[in-house]
Amino acid sequence: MEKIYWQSIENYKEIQKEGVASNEKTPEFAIKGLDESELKGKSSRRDFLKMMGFSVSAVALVSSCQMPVRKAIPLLNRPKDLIPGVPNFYASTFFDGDEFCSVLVKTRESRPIKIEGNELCPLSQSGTTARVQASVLNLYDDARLKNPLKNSEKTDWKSLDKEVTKKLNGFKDMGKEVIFMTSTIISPTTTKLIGEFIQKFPNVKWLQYDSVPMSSIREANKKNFNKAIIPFYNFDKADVIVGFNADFLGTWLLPVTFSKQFSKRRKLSKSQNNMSRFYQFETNMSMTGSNADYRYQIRPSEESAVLLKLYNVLSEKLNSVSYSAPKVDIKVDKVANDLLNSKGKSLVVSGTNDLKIQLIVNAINNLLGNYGKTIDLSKPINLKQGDEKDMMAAISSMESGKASGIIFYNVNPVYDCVHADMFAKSIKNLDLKISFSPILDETSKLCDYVCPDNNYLESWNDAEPVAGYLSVVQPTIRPIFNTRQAQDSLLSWMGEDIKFSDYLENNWKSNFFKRQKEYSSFDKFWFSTKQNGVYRLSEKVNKNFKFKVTKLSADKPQKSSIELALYESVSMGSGRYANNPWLQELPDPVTTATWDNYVTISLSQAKEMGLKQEDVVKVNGKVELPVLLQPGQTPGTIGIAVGYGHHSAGKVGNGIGKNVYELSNITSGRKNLNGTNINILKTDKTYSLALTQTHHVMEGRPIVRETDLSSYRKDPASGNEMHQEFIKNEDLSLYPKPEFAGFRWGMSIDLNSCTGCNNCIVSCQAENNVAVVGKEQVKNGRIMHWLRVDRYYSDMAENPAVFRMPVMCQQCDNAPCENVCPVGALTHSEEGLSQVAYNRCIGTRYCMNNCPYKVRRFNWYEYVNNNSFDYNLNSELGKLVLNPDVTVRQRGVVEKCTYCVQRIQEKKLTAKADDRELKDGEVKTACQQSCPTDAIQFGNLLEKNSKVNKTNDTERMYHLLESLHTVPTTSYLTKVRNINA
Amino acid sequence: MMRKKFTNQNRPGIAGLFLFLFLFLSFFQLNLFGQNEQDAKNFNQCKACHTIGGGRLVGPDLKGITKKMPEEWLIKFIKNSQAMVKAGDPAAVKVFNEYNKIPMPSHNLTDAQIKGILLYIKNDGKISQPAVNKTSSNTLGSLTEIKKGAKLFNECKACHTIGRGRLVGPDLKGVTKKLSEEWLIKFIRNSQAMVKAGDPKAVKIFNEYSKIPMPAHNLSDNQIKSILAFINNDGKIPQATTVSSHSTTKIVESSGPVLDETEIFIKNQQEGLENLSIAAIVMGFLLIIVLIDLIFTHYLKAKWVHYVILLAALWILGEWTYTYATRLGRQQYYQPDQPIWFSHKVHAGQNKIDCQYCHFTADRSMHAGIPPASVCMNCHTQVKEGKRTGKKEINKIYAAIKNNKPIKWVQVHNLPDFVYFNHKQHVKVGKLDCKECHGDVAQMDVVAQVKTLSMGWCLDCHRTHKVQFTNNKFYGQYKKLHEDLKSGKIKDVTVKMIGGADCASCHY
Repeated sequence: MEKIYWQSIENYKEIQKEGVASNEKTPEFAIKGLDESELKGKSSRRDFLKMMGFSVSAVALVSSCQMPVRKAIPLLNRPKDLIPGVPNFYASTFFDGDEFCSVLVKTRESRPIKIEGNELCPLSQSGTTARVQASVLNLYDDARLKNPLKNSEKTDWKSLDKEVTKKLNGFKDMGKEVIFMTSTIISPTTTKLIGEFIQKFPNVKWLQYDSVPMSSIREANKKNFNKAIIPFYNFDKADVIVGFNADFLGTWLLPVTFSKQFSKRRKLSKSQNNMSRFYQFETNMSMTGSNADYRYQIRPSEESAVLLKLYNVLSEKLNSVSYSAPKVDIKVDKVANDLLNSKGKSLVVSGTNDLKIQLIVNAINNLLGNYGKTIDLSKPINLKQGDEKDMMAAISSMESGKASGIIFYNVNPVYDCVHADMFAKSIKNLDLKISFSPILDETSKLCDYVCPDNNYLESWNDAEPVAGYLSVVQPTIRPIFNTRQAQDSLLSWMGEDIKFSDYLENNWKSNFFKRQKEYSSFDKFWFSTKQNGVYRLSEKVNKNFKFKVTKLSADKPQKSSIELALYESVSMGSGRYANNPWLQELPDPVTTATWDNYVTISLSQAKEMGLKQEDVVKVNGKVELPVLLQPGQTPGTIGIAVGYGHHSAGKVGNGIGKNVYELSNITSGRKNLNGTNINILKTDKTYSLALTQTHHVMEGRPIVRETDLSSYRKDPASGNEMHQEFIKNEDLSLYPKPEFAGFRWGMSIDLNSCTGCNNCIVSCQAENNVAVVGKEQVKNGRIMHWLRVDRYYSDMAENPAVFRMPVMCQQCDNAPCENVCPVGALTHSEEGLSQVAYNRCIGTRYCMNNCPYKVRRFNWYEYVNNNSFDYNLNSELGKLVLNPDVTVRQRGVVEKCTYCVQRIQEKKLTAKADDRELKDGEVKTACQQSCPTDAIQFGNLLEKNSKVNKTNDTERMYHLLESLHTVPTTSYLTKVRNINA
Repeated sequence: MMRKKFTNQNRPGIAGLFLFLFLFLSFFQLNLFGQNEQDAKNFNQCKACHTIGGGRLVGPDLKGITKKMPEEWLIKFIKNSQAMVKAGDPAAVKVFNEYNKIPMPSHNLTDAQIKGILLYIKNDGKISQPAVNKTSSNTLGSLTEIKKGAKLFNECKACHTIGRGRLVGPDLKGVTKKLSEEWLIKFIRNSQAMVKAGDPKAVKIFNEYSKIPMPAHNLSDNQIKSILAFINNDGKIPQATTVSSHSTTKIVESSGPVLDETEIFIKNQQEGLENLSIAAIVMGFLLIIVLIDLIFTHYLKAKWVHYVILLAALWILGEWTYTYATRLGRQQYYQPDQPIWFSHKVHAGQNKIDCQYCHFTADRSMHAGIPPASVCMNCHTQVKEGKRTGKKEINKIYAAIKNNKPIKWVQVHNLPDFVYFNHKQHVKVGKLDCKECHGDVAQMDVVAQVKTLSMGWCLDCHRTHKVQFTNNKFYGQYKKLHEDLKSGKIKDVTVKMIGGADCASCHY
């Protein structure tokens, strides 16, 4: 059966109407608002003469100008490790309160410019997420506070310390409570410090608060195992994975670790022809759900009922206790069968913060014998320690006057608390309000004292995301501003005369050094831990856990009202990075929307309500948001991303989208993003969204090739028959066959591994100085990303299968772009790269027209030092993130992916200088290096045993649009779905 | 531009200068050994200002310091001496005053590291010798031996030449023939011990060379033998392809204000350009007058005069336009004034300081690097006065260090932003002489850009320059070229053949 792929709703409707995709091409750059003369062009002879006169005088002016005097300013004293022009890498740890990742920080001339994953970390391995990649830009954020503030006015640390200490001591003497509100703390040393702080000030009450909490997992495990923990999940050990509203590849708990594990079982090779099977039950179309083999649409209120139904089916077969369950239509027999067939090798997870649901999940996993196998209770995950109940208690103690002070660390409850208004009101009466926020956010605006914390790239710290897995945070740059690490502030208020860096070292000496046996001297231990960034304690842990049965119950599914499912978007997360232009412009992996949040609504629901894309609706009579028609959205539900709608985040993030945290569901005192009953009303307004989705329509050609596992096993070439056909005619060409002397660089992308997390896009952006263009220009189709991840839907629009394909310059050997350049700016290198000389380009854009892959980008404007594009390139501070090895392109030139040629050149040079051959895998492109699923391989195609050749050595390999005979060096491997067995 | 005339004479300070040059050179060379290697490495930081038993530099000689002061005090002082001075610690204040109130910068060392350094000082700066694992017996003069020696000789270069005259120490040409190997090894190891023991030859040399002691060297027998092999071979590596990195200029013996060849050339070129501009202005003026006369006033009856002047003016103006148009964006003969009147002629020319002694990152980074002021201080702690500029210019270095304000040099060789140039590629891998792109800097008081640094100029070299193709294992990957070389299809491999003319080798 021929599958029909479609990209946008309009496209889908056309397909339905006409049966085939319309041949009418949408213009690539349809610019509204231009008048007719501008579109037609009306230059006359007079204009020509004017222009000529202008250019002659311009040349005369330029020629009379002197070259600017450039200064070379050496250091007075060169630090030992600093060689100008040579990068240094420091191991550190990214933890922002939600997400953990062990990283390597690349610094050039002492400034961090790029984040890479730390290969030595057993958890995150070499992977990162888009947020981790973008975090380096937060260091150079203009919104960062430059000084400590007192009542919004500049002050100095000394007087601030004096006043705060006095007040804290005063409260202590009076016995008045001070609330210390932090995000989840996974640092053992900071935890110890907070403990000592509380010892010194016993009136301080510590409270951990998560904007997106997951406390029900801890509580469920407390009931079942008597331990309030989140266990460690092994997705790589599971043959069958069943997810319920858990976006574990994007935002849930440890997305990098889980992506690594998940993709490990999704790779196919000659030695591995087995894949895990992944079922997802979810409300919104999440990034994780779009990777599922089978995806079921459920309403949030149905989740517990479906789970209980599944439990009952399983328990019946396994002769266990059944519970009465409300009726639901969703069929679970297939899932149940698969689960039963892989007992002990399956995994059921739910991302819903609801105790009932988590108890059923635990019971199912226990029935299947997954504990100790795919779920490891002996190494709990330390993330998400917050509990909304504590938050409620805090509010009531503030309102009752019991508490008279509050300290915020890494939290912004006035923005993301469900009762934000109530909270803001209740802290107003307090005598002392301190915030450690690095920016003047919604919460710190209301505080008397703001003690700006260092960026994590300027700080010392440690982390223990999973019990026994230690990781250190070390500074890679001196604090840029007059800021101070929060821990140092605490120490100075405690009256301790010690720096936190020493405190940290002391704690490691007295604590972890004693708990290890590998090193005999602390200095060596500490040095190597700092160098590796991670240390794993090999301590014996208790592995005996007994499951205590609890009674299970489920909610009755609702049918009548519209249910809301809030979600964390892959780019914005819980909303900490609102002022990060890279993330704001990162297309959503599912909707491909940038710069906004919106209401996702199912097609049938939209039809019923008469809604079109971009119509504005009013949710609960308060929040007005545009509608985005989302295939795969459960009918009767809508989804909205949290993390938007800041009004005090900085110049980039202010006023982008709407804040919807107040729409969270509070069930039995627990904050849950899913399941609020809401009403939506259509308004007369419309609001345009900037989607990158319809820019690059590939006109119904065989772009993504797919098959299913059983067909693959029968014939590895299945789904890729066209390639076999093509190979027969491959050598027919008018062009001379290019020859290569030593290298021919090539890339291989496994579509089966790629989950579409968009990490590569930000990594490329950071490495190659790609400009941010803003919402208006994205709408005009002028986004500058060198790499995009195309997303296609197939089959039914209500619940389609999703395909993703990262597309960057394919570096064709017969590059169609090269032979149309009128000025010879595009040439083919001796190593098979299609190269652009920016300084030669005159911007005719012929190459863009002739590129079948649409991967070339034109600089429509000067994006540097331009107030119309007020992002990182328009600030002295923001420009510090630029990679000095890569040219910053100017207005009027075309740019594109270069296969990170600067990295190729650098590694080649290193090999030459060391008098050795270049090793395979030594050159890594930016997109490849931090890919959390290892979907990208890069190397020398001339070398037989290179990894890229080995990966390509399969019948699944094909080239994009190979029938055009562009002979790309980038190849793709077909997507294989584990269905229909 | 007018320049003052200065006289040049040999100066007594030079001897001291080279001694400390040597100490600094060892910074890069000595880290070969095991055990306390880390401590010794850490001490490298200190070397810029301190010696162990080598006399005072910016800071005091540290020999025996561990006996004089308690460890605790030392650690505190090394960590942050200024805090102690401010706190009024008497010992700290005394040291501070004694050493010209130059503050010792605070160091970011851990206690353990400082302790290691102190141990190293206590040990009089010696690292315990590792058991050298020798695989082959070395005969004097084998090729690898000489190569090794050439590398090690870099250390000696600060004070010795081979066949190019005496510097601080004697010219070593033929020394292997005059003196026995055994004696030489002993002397190189520790000359002072021999002098003290009264070895007649040693004493003679010591006296002859102004009683400047040759510092003891921590070299193994085999290493010294390699050096001797290199000297024995007259400082040449017997291989045709190696480009000698030694300057071939003759030593300028003291002659005073004479401009060197290069300087005269630069000056002529600059003047030529200026003259052309003046001529163009004059001719432009004439042109206007002639045109006015020709059309309106008719003062001169002989019309041929008009035409001759007209033609001449057009020719000069055309020449001017062409010259300046091709110079657009280029800076050939650019010779800016620098904040400090620093003369490469004195440093690189007369004193023969190796280019890479100061520009020490040229072989490991894309930037050759303007030396940090601390590198200047390696010598200028001793050399406090110049013959030509007196204390004025050298004091600017001290002022920079004292005020903690870096020196803002003016960049002479500029490339546009869209060009990527890497020194390591050209110096370390290509083994090019600095001169090939920078001209004979050793003959310039004020550095000027001699070459055009245009793309055509780069490509000319890339198209013709031969790669040392068989010397580097990296090039093993170019199998096809190797085959062609073998079969005689091609004679040499040029840079272009391995992608040196690709746009993306310089533009990305």
